[in-house]
Amino acid sequence: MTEEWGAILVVDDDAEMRELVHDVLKDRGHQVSTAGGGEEALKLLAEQDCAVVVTDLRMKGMQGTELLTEIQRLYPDIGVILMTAFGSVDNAVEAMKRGASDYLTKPVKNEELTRVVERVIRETSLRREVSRLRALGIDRKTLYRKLAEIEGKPHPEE
Amino acid sequence: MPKQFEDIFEASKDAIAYAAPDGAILLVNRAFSDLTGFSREEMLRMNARDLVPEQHKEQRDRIVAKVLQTGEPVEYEIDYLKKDGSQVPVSITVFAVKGDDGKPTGLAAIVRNLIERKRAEEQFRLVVESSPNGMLMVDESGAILMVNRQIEQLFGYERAELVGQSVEMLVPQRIGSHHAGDRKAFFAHSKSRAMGKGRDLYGVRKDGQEFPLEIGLNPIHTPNGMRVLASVVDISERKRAERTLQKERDFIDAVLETAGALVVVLDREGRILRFNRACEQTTGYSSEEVMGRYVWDLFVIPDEVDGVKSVFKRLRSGEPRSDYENYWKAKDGGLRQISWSNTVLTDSHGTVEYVVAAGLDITDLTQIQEQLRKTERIAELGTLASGMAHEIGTPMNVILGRAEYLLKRTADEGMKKGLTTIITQVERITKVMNQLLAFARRRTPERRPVDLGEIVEDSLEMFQERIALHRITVEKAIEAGLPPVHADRDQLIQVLINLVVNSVHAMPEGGRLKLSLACEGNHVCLGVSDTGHGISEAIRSKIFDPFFTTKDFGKGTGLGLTVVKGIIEEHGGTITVESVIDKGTTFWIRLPLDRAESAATSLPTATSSS
Repeated sequence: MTEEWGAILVVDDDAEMRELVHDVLKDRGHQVSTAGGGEEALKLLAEQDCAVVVTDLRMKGMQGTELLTEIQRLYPDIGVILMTAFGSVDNAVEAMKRGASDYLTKPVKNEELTRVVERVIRETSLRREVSRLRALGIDRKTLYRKLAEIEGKPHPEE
Repeated sequence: MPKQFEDIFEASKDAIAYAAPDGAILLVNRAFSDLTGFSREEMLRMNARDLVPEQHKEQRDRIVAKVLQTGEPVEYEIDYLKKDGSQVPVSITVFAVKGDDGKPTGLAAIVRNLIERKRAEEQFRLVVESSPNGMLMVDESGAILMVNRQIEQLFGYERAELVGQSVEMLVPQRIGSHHAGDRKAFFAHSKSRAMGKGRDLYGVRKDGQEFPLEIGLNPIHTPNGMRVLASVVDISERKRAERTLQKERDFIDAVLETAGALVVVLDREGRILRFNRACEQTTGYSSEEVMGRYVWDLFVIPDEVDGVKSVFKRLRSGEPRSDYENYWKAKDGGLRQISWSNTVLTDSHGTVEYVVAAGLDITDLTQIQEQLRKTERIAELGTLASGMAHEIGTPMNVILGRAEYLLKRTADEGMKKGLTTIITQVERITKVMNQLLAFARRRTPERRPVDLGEIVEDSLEMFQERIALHRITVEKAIEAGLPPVHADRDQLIQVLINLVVNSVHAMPEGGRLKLSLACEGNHVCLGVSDTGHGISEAIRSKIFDPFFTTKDFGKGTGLGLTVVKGIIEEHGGTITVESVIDKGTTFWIRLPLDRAESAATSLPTATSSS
């Protein structure tokens, strides 16, 4: 793995689950930190940069959706992935509408978890790069190409 | 006079006298003396004429003259003057006593005291007069001899206007001629009876108004011939009351006959007296067929006869009402479940005369309740399942994830095998949970015009590999140009997947899967047939029940067909199954065509092809 991977924050009130996600992603070479709830997560985010937050939807204290809202308000460029128990697809869909990057249904296979998380990280990094380029006054063409990469489509001029 | 005759003469209760043709009394008996109050000596000095009051003297003389002339005896009634100046009614039979030459030598008179008879007659008159009924007496010619006050009031005539007139004047003209004939017939074969049996009788008042009446006829034999004493009752009031009652009865009848409830009326022995239309419809028996039969002989199933009898007994012995539920056997043998409300009707002494049972056929209701209970159970289950899913989702994820994590890190084959088992088992649980949840959380379907043929094709496509693997051939009989059905596409695909999976499972050794689609009136009929092992009759009724499965543990959730049935019924359709063991099974689905809808909305395929 290269250092272009941004850091991941795993939020779940279930310690075992938290550690599993941590271990699986860590094995893939990601930089992973964990939090046992929404408040703790926000505290961590205030201290360190992070590309993606993977959070459980139903937790004691702050709910996953509340955390999502807070992150969007404070750090709009961080991708948020919600984990839901099966049977609560409606909640997940609702979360997607409110701006979550993706959702995972428990039980999720490690492979699927990794795939989704890495895709979201990639999107987030690209988006960040676009903003950075734009801030630096980079020409439109480069910008379009980067955007197309996010969308996963080849640029028409290429 | 010989001694014997003298004794007889003296002992007679009737007064007997013998007088000379001029009336001079020659011989009287004791009874004569008792009758008149004169002693025998006094009488022997009197003329028979002296005993007759002035007003009757002429009549007496006429009769005596006639008797002397013709020699025929005559009976007549006059008053006699008594010694005390009072008068006594008497009946006199006078005849001439003839000498050897045939000439009358004297007059003999047998005189009977009529005071008792007159008193009886007076009593009779008073009885008649005081009768609450109108009474009138007529003779054989129909002439009115006597009426009482009630007759005057009933008919509006004065007594004098009636006596001596023909009784037909009181009969309406339209039946007057009948009446005269009937009257003659009555005199010919007279016995006490009600008049005009079986038909309505009418009288007519002086003012011409007619009124209904009832007449009792009594023949009275008198020395002057037969008389008929008629007792007349005005029944206008009763007729009016009858009409009111009849109206009430008609009303009750109408209510009973149109009521949806079953109404049975039983006598105190349990015999059927009344059986309304709802009863006829429910049981298939007509009212005539059941009338007078015991209710438990006809309708009650053997197991319940004792119960019904004891309910009946309790009602009869004073329980004012009761509720009861039982089965009635209809004529065709079918059982109907009836919920009864029983009550009793008592006579004025409080004795139970009738038992009235009003019942509702709750057979269908019970089935609906059963269905509802099932649905509620399923809904409960759904809530439970989704709650449970939340709780077990995380631990299952941990097990699955950890196993996968370890599987990746180990090179130990035994370990790998064990971990793989853990993974597949968790996946199996996940699958069951997902199906259960899908079933429990049926979302509101999104309906639009759907081409069923396309759905069939799409569904089959998903199974191509599996079908080929199982050496199953597919046959399609899809009618061209079928109108669309208004349905939820995803749900219908789910239906087909479930049915096709079942068919594939039913043919482990291969076979033929046939899908047919045809229009039947206002319905589209979809058939899914296999040539598999079939479904035994014993379990055919259960296959749509939740959690019923014939598959090995873990292979089926027992929800597939429940989901299918639920979806089809949500679409207003029906699903039925035909099956022959070892020959195969066919599921038939009928979905309503919404022609208005399909005309208004074109198929998505039709628009996309442009």
